[in-house]
Amino acid sequence: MDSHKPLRRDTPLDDQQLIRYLLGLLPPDEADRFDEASVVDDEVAARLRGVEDDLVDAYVRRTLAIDLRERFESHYLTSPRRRERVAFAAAFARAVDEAPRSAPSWRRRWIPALLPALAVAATLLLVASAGLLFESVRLGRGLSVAEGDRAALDRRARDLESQNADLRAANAEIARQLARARTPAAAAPDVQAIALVLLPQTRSVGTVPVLELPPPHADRVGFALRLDATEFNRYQVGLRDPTSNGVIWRSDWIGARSSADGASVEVAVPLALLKPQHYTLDLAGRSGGNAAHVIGSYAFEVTRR
Amino acid sequence: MVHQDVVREDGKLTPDTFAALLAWLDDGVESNGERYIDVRRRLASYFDRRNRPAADDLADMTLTRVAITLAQDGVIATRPPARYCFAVAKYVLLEDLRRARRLVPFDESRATEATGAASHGAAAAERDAREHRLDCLDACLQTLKPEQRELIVEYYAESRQKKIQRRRELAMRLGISMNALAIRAWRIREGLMTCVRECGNRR
Repeated sequence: MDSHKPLRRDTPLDDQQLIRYLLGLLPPDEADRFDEASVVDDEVAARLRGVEDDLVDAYVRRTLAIDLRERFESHYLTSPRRRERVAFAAAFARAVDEAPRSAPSWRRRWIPALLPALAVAATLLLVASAGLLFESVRLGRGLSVAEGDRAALDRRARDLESQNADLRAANAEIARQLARARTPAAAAPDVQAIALVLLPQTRSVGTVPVLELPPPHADRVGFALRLDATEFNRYQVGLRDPTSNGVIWRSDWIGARSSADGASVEVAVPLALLKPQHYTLDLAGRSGGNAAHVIGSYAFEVTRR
Repeated sequence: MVHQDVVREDGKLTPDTFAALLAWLDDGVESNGERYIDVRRRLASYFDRRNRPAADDLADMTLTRVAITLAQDGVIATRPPARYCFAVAKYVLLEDLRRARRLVPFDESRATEATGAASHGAAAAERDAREHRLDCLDACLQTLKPEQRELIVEYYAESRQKKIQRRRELAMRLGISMNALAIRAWRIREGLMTCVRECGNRR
């Protein structure tokens, strides 16, 4: 039943190797051996749990090296189960890090209280910046003054942004929402050209598909998500930003298309939403009035041309 | 052929079959079910690392098959038991890949989070969820004994350079090995995560 070579244990386990395993960076044969050891070998299982927790903690504390961070976002965060782990770790790390200064109660309650006000302030800053710019152009005067004001406002915005991570997240969300508001209603399945064909992810050992910006033509980017099987009538695609773990765009419920290469779901994602970083496209399916099911995640990376 | 004295009509193992599975997994060392929980968790993590959305269901399916084999054959010679479980798990994985049928329920509440004006509400909901998670964590932390709280704070606190040294000193102070300390810290953390999840579900 078990034909492959078991993991060699004549050398000490290397944490870096375990991290590479968790991030899907090992060759398939070696990953298979770790798969088995993670279930069968008590020591490997225990070490793996510890290394995984430390890896997730390093991610939420932003102490991971950039290449590992990118890999973490494109590979580890594709699983809902692991995303839940990361969400817990974010709260846990905060509580643990604040404990020595404020035990027994955790110091944090001022942050949510400030968030709405800070979010409104950030929005007002953006509106004020746009207003100043518009006024200066229309009147044909005072441009430098307005720009100076705007720069001052920007500096003020940066100061606000630097106050805490929660505020940065809120500002990013607002910016994304503004971008979305400027974008016409999305998800029309009229995809003119496919920029990237994505395959179902079962284990990533190769490179993540890369999309170069800007693509030729238009304001949208076409993606074809290959399907293992066309078991549902309708599909919906969500664009997830791993940095916030939020879905920043979602298509309508659309049908799959068949071609000689197989079935796929094709969507056109607004270009304005994409910046150089990793993303995942979450695919869900449903038939008739039945409940929808998560089918899988498709990771890709956006780079500048 | 699966008999009713092995699996009930609802697909769950009969109490006798389940007890036999627990005893077999213990392999002579009574663990009060902890070994079963541990092996099940490892299997679920394995399926999850292979990007199977219904990882927990596949872990249950694997252990059910092992239990049925055990009940029908009376004995499974492979040692340790987890090795046999993994061999079955590989077949369960292959079958799931072939079926390409995913059983994880889609979270309907997320479907509206990025469509037009609804996205504003979704961002607020996200913040609410984060706040609720923190409230749950607060409550769960209060259920820990002071020495448990101290241990996880010491073990998991942020420190880029001194983490290993700090943990080694903590292990020495407690008079236990580094491995034992890691297991102890992990158990507390997993307990907290379970507590937070259950607290979130009660919302």
